[in-house]
Amino acid sequence: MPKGIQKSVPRLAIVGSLAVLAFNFPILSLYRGHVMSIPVLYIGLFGAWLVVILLARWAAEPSIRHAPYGQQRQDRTKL
Amino acid sequence: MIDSWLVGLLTFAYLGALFAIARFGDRRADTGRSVMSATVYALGIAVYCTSWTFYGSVGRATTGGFSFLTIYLGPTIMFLFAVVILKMIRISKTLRLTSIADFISARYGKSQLLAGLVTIIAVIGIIPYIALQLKAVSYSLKILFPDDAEALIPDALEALAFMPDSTAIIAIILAAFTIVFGTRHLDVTERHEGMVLAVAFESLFKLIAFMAVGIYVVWFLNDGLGDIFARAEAIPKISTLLQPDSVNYSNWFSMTVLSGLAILMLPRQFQITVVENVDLNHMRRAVWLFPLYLLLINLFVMPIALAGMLHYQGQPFVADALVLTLPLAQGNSAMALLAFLGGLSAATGMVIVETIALATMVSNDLVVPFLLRRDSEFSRRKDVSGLIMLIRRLTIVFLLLLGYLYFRGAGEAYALVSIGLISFLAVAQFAPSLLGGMYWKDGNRQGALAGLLLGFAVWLYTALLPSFARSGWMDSGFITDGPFGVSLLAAHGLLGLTSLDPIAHTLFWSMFVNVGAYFAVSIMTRQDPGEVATANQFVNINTNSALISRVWRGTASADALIELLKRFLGPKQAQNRLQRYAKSRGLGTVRNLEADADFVVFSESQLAGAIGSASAHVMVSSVVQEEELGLDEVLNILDEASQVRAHSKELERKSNELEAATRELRQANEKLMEVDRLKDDFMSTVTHELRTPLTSIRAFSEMLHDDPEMTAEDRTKFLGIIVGEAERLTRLINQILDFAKLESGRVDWEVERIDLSPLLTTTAESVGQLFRDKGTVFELELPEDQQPVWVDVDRDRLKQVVINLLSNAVKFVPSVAGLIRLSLSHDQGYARVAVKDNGPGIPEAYQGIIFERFRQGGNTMTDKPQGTGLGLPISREIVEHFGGRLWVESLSQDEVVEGHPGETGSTFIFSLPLADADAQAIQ
Repeated sequence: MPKGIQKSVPRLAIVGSLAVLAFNFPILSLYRGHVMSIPVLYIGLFGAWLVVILLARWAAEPSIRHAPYGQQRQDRTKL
Repeated sequence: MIDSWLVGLLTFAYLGALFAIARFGDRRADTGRSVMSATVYALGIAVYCTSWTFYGSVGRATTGGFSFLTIYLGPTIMFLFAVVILKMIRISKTLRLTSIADFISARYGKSQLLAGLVTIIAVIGIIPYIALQLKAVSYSLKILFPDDAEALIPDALEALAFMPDSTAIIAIILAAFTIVFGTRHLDVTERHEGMVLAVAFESLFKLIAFMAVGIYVVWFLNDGLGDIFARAEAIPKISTLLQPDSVNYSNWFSMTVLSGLAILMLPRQFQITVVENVDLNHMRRAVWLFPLYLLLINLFVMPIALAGMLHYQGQPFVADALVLTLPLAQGNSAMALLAFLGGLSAATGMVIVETIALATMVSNDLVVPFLLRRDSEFSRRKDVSGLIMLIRRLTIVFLLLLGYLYFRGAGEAYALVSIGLISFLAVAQFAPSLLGGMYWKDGNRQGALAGLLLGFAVWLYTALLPSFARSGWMDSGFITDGPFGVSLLAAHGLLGLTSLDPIAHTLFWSMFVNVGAYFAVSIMTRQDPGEVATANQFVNINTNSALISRVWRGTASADALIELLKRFLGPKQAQNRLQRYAKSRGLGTVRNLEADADFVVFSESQLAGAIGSASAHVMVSSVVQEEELGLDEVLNILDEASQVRAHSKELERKSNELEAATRELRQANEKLMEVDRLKDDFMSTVTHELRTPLTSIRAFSEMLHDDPEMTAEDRTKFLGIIVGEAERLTRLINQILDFAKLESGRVDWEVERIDLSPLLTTTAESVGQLFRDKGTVFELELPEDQQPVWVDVDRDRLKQVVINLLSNAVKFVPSVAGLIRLSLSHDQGYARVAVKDNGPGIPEAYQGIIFERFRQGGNTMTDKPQGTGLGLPISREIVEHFGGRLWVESLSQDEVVEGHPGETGSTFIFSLPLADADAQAIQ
């Protein structure tokens, strides 16, 4: 398995476990009521979903998000 | 009213664009500039969203609230557990597996029976799903043209007897597309980059179309999300849908599991995710981009559903068509057209990929095995590669025809509308044998067959037949009351389990018997020897992908194998691959190939890409005489292999250790040699140093001895010299002894806490005579605050250091206006003692040397030595013993700027750590 994806597999699995929790009973039953007339169920499900996606992206492709930072570090080692 | 010619034009323009995009993708692939990026791959996977998503989600939301989301949450979670998909991809790439049937059969000893069974289940489960896509296209046309569903076809043509309806025309175009771009190569493991690019485009298109409709409905037809939800809240029937209380948690969970399994097991998903994967690293993008896609395409489902319910309040409406009817009701034909094309793209993408995947399975696992067995003509033909290609293309046409006929036959029947989840349930039956096979070595063919058959039977009885019954095709009594009134056998309440909805009910029971039978039968029966090897390879794909050839034994003829490859791959293809293979084994030409186990395994895997692993195994077995290995033998070989691996690991570890030990030894040796050299140096220097005074003592003594008439004055002078030299000799020997003691660490240090100021004062007094003899001015500078400076040292040793430095300084100050300054200061936890002289200074080159044994500044060969050359090294040893440092700062004459002669001179400085806490307290 290529190094990159291999490294993210355990982190992704952790995010996956979080997702299993966030999208099922009993957490699911907490999304009740309204926020500014929008049902919390709608906000909760899609919000949790988005968080899971962002975490997955951070876990699987950290290079994208921290590109400038990584760049900096590389420069420093060159110095 | 929308012009029919415009819809027709756009439809065919859209399909034309698909052809163009696919052609572009294939062209690029042919020229070696692949279009398969991680993003294209992830968008390709979104073929998961069919017209069932595009139209059906809104429909489900109107009745089931948010439960439609489970269909997309399951895949999201499954993609996060990427390790499963990655393993599937690895196995498929290594073994050149081309379909889900191939995958399962390869794991269980390349069983043709198993491959056939999986194919049949897939066809029965999926054909209605393809039909549903065609129905969606036909239905959306009906909504656009309620008066004349065949408006796309000019009336003049419609009269022709052979003129098909517009859905058929689209199906024919799709068949053409699939044949052109889906069967470019005989070998299915060769990618269809053009097809994937077109599917990725379709994914993007349907997403944009759906979101456009969503934005239009939410912000143009209504006043935003808040407005829609607030108005929905006012209607009790709707508002309960929006709260978690409306959710049946066990159904919700089952649906998530079901869709999570479906994303792995659906033939089209296997095709895109596994077969069309070019780079495992593309999964890094897919794990988050595909879930993001799902999120976006579902974002407006609920708002559209609510808007529809609010719009048609009280009136009957078709919930599945809201995406089309809402824009149409406002007369926004552009938006309706966009929605229509979006639905078309969702349907066509699914049909294309699903048909390729099913066609591979049907031709490789049903038709080819059948022909190989029955048709002697087929087995006699010289080159069957063209024939196999033709079979696959005909299969595509046949499958689409089947789908079309089912769509025409079923019409509005419930069996068609509900097929989405029923299809999911069918393919979920593959999960136990597929996943079990990947992680459990002991799962065997009998177990897989039993599990699949039983699971499939439960699916037929509790899911498919009820859907037929509800379509009115058969009596529906067995659904709730059970056959012959036996209520425990009711199709929707087996053994009285009625609390689950039908889908969850089928999932539970089918998985129960499937998993149960798989494990039970696997444990009770034994694996074939041949199966043991593949099982091992599947489970340990990461560590021993090349193991399989060890387990093959028999006799084969290279010519027969080459003939076989030429027959099935075509002479040119076969020649190419054989050449590459020969090269990879370091053989010049194909003729040199020997029919060893490796070559047999290679031939089989090459054939597997074209006709599936089960058929490939049968074909290869027909030309080689494989020796039947006993189960024990296979286990031994595998065991040996794993032992060999363990041994080689052990060896590697040992050799690493040895290397490290060697490195250490070499370093130690170097050190020893250095020490030896130093000892030699030391000896020769010592003897040299001892001889100098000894020589002069001897010379003067001889003079005294030989010349009795020497004047008393001379005698006294010579005796003085002798005494002086003897003193020097004594000093030298003392210092050598001293130094040797220091070096070997045999010194008894008497450490005590002392105040440096009085120590320096008394020491300076004790050498006062030296200064006076040479007429040197001596200054002592103590800290201004007159506070004691405590350090922990050996008093006598430290005194020795100071005397050493002072007497050194005296030696080098000019005889006129000599000046020596001894100063004490302290800061940052260190006491600092400096001895400054105004002598000639030490050139930088010598500043390091003077601390070495027997080395002095200046040229020792010409200048008369002025000391033993041991004073500074000894001093440094002492200072360093107490955790301090001794160094010199010096400006020599050469370096001093003209006009400032007074600034030459050296400063010898040593620092000592202040005695810790107590010292601070005293300060």
